[in-house]
Amino acid sequence: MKARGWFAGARIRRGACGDWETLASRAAVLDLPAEAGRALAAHVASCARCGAHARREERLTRLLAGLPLPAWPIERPILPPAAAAVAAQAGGDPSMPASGAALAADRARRALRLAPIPTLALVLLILALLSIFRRPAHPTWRLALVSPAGAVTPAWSLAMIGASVEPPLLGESLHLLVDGRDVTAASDVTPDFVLYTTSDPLPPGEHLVAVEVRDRNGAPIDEQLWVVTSEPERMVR
Amino acid sequence: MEPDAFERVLVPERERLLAYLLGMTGEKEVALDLAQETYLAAWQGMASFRGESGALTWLIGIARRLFLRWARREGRRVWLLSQEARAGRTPGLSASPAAAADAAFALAERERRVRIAVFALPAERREAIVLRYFVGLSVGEVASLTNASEGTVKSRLARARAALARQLGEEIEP
Repeated sequence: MKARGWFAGARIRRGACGDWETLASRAAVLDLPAEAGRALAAHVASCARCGAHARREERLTRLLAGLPLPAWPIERPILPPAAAAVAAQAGGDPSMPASGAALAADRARRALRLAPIPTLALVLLILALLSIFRRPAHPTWRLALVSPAGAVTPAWSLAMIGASVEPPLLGESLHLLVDGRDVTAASDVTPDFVLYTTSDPLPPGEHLVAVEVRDRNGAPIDEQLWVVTSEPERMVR
Repeated sequence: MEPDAFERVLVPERERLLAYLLGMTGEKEVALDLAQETYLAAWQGMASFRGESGALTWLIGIARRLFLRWARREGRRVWLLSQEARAGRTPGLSASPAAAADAAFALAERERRVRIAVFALPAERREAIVLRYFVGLSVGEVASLTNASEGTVKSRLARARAALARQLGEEIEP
């Protein structure tokens, strides 16, 4: 109860004019924020300087919140074209590969699966001939997130992030990035696998995991992204 | 999330997503590229979205991580752009009196001034303003997205607003 006496003499700054006011000492001092709010509102209504300040603040809010949203250009698809094509074919299959090369390979596989046998033989023959006469600059890799299962990890334990690459790399290198940070140096890397164990549990929320294939000069030539969710205990199934 | 949820829930948020990325990068082409990458990552990660946060907040969370990665790569260019904005040297910033007589032009010009003033803010304050006013999130949502407390977000907003009020003086005079 002694505290009431201490609060009784509290002073509040009233507004933009910098005036101070001592609040009356009565039971209402226990409700100081509300009392202060009422005193401020009454002051702003009567003080020209504070009134103008309040109007400026209001205009600034209207100016910021009233800006039109930028329009999405019609000619620009929501997904990159290759991804959109696979999405349309997959009918919402969430295991869609991301990189351009992987998407093209995936599309070709689907097309081949549906093609009649003579067409299939012809296509295979053409591909074989092409592979003899024109070797691609680099093979197409299939990058897959192996761990954590379902891209979900519990937030109370260390996370193991693993990705596989197929076919195995020959001269290229595999790099793992978590939320933009290259953690390859702290990972176990083989020609067809990279595994990273975090030193602390991942904070709850979504984390961006990227695996990059880089050529001998260190330039990225293929990449795949996943969102890994670190979930508190009660949410993990 | 159901298979058609991507079209039904996430695609309609494209303009607010773009507003965030445009506010943060200052370049429309870069913002569009990052928005497409965001949608691609969201499409792949739809299985992990369980609706604890809103679809827009989830989408912006992904966009934020992609933006941070981009900003680390392009740090110097971003810094130069914001310095240009801070110095008010962005081409076409001031309108000629004749052109300003046209109401639509004046409106576009005012919008440009506001965007440049926001872009000139330090990154954390700019992000708070962009998320709160351009995207329209609540203070709580901004706090959870930026891993800061609500008090910190309110403080960033107050400081940013004070800087904007100084910068946009004549625009907000009663």
